Amino acid sequence: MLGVELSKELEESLEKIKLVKDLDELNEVNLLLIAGKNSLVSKLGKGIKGMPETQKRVFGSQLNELIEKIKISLEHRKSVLLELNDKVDGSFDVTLPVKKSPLGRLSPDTQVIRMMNSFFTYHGYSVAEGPDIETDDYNFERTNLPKDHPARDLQDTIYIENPEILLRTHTSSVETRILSNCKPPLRFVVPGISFRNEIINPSNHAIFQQYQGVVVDRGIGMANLKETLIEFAKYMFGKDIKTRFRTKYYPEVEPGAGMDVLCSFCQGVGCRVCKGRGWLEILGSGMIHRELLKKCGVDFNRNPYESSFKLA
Amino acid sequence: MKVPLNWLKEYIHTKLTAKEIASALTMVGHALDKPIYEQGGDFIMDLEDRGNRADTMGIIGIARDLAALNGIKLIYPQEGKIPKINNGKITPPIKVESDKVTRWMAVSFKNVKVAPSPDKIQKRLKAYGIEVINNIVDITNYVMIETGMPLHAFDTDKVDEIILRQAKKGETLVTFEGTKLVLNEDDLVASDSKKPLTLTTAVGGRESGIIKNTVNILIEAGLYHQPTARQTAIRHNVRNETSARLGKYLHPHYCEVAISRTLELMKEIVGVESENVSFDYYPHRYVTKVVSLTEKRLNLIYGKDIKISEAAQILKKLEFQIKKQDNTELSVGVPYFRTDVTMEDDLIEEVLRIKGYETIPSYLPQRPSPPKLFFPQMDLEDKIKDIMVKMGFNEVISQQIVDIKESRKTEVINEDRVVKLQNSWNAELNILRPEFISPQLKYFIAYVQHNVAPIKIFEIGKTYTKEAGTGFDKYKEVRKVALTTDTGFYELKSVLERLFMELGISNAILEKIDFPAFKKDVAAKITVNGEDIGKFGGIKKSILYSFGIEREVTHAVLYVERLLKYATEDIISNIETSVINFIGEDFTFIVGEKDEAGKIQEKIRKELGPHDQLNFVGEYRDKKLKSQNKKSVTFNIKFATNNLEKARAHSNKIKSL
Repeated sequence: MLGVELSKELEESLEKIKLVKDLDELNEVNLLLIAGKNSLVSKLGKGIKGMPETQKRVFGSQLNELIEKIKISLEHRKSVLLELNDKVDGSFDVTLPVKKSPLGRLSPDTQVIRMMNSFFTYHGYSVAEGPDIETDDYNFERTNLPKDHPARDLQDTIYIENPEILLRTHTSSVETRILSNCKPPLRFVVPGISFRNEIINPSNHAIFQQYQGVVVDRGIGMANLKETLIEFAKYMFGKDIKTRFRTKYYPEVEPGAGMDVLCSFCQGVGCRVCKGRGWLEILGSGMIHRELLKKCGVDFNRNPYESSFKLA
Repeated sequence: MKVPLNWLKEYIHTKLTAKEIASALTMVGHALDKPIYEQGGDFIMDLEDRGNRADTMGIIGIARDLAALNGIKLIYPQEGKIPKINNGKITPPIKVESDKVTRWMAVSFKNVKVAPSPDKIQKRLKAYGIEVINNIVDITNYVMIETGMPLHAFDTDKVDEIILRQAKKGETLVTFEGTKLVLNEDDLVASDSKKPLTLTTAVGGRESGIIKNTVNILIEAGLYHQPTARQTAIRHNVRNETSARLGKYLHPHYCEVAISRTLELMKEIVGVESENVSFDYYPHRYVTKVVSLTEKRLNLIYGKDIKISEAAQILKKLEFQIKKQDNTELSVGVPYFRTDVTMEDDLIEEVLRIKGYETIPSYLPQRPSPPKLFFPQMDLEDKIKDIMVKMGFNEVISQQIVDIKESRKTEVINEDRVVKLQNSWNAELNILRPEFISPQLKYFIAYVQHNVAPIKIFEIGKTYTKEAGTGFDKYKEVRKVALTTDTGFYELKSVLERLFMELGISNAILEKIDFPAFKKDVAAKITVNGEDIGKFGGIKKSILYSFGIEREVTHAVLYVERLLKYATEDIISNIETSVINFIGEDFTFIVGEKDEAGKIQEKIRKELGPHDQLNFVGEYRDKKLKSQNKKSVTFNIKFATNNLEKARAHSNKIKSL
């Protein structure tokens, strides 16, 4: 049983606690009553010093009881306050726009290249690369474009040291490097930039991305090339894409083939975008020219094919 | 090559429309270059220039493919008979002094009446889009469009002789269009005793051309060293119908074809016969090529069986001669006009394109995939890109060819090592990218203009330098990761540390450096095992100002190849899962104001086990510390252990550092 004095103190304390409105205040009251250096409890405690031994014991246990009761009351008030805290007035706006913390983005080139790489790596191709600064030998001689070949006019070259050192005009220079240095069978793709000394317009840039695929193996023919390209077009543009496989000349291949997809702007009627063809040319391809293979030291009886895809 | 529909139908009887013809031609290698259009009362199919086919620069060549495709007969136009060759008797006298002449044929006519061409010729030429001049010039143009072989007519009363020779340096020629060309020794001209009359490989001259009162003429068909023709056209920027054709590989027999057709038209239209001698310079006769075709290779390339007899039928339609045929092999004579056909695969393409590429079966390669080629840095780069994107960095791809003036602003380039271009489409873009600061700052500006904040960009690409050495080997391409951000030095440091952690590089050490592009004091190099793997720092205000940037920018560059050397990406994931418990404690050190926290961290790290975690808490300077030129740095260490005693001992050791 608490004495009269302590009962009064307890009553006042509990009254104080009841009036507390938030957790910060509760903390203050806590300090004021029991936790602080000059709290009520510590003040009361100091009074114990002058008491006789028997009274000390009684007062001590009463004081503990007081502390205990205040503590319980504080705890109770805390849980009430916490509950009150949850019951807000409905002014909290869950839709409030917040500052964004965005992820970065890959460049569109990287995204498309990755998509293409994933198709070709699934089909057993390695992803390869090579130097941008090239020799005339790898860029032209070995790609079956000897000096004075008319096709060199189409590939106006940017030179570092005319005529031997240049910026590669196509990724075929990587093809000739690999064919010259690795033993068939080979299956690889080369995503990479190429450089041409051309006036820039909306559809051509002097620096552009190319994507090239090469297969050198026994028993390879146009049928393999055709199926690979059809599957590739479906992978890139959806399974309903309409494709067309037609004759096309490229000096690095023989026979040469072009792949078109139905023009998505005119649905095959013919428009400016597709030059009136109704179809959009998406890539050039063909069986690697025997001269190219010979110049790279590959035995042409292995019957390879090459397909060379471009992406703008 | 422009093909007017009605002109084409001169050589092939067909009811097909222009659209149907264009679509059939597309499949055999002659795609439209632009939509079919109407001109001069005809439909014009403008077909792509096919690099290797000189014959398709004449309408007959196109008609021939169409005839073979449709199994109908090609109707050749009437030809006149070429008079007896007598090179000494022709007037004016002709001399060939250059070895660049492959063949030169000429016939002369006296008392011609120059007049407008008949309607039919005019209509055809107008439909094609070539200017109508007079009956003589029009005939040469008509024959050129029809056969693909250019011709030229001289007014022989203005010419005392014709000499085919190399030009002398500085000689000039005014073309029939009035352009003055200054020639050099690489140009081939037809001259009289005094001056050049024509640039034979490309364009005719004004003075000796056919005009209203011309009466005596000489018409020639000449073929020349093909590269000379092309280079001359490029050098003088003469791109016309003549130079386009002479730049291709025309067979010398074309001279005869063109001359005999001209004789016929001269008779028909102008009403004159030539003089009774002709000129023909043809020093090295071409022989007909014979190429063999085996059924085995044909079937391999096609993908299913075609009988050799069917191949023979197709080739015959294209006017190839079957010299020998058995069950498995053909021996084929190549017609003169098909200079593009030189080997077996060329014949196979002929068979396939007429049979139709749509008939080629389709199936994937049947053999297993060969072993993977090894390009490990490409995998690493992919991984780095993914990590950077997760950390909020946007990938950019800056141009490889840049302006040296922009690079100079960064103060980091060594001009002797810059790779300069000898030619470029843009005079200001003249070197290969030697550094990433200037191109990335340009991107940075674009992001500023788009109000992006914070700006975090990265890319993986090459810088190019010229080192000591000779030839190709002295050029070095180094792949780098470059980052630019306005989030500050420490933020970027934290990004780099995260990147290293993800790559499994745990022992990267920072050290203050001086670097021209970075602010003094705010520049660090990163080393692993003593090897420089990159650097980063705050870009100098003066440099930023020169690019028009008014905020703080931090830049980092790392070498991909060296990252590859130290990256062990797979160790990371094991660490955090294998440790059972951590006991954590903060450690504060009072140190000199200029002491480097990184060094202290290294010292502590040396005392830690491989699984203990060390994190930086903060740096603190109050007035009292400042007055003593000191600062405090605090680290938090989580000892990876369950043993409190051990941790305490460890802790005491660190406190004593």
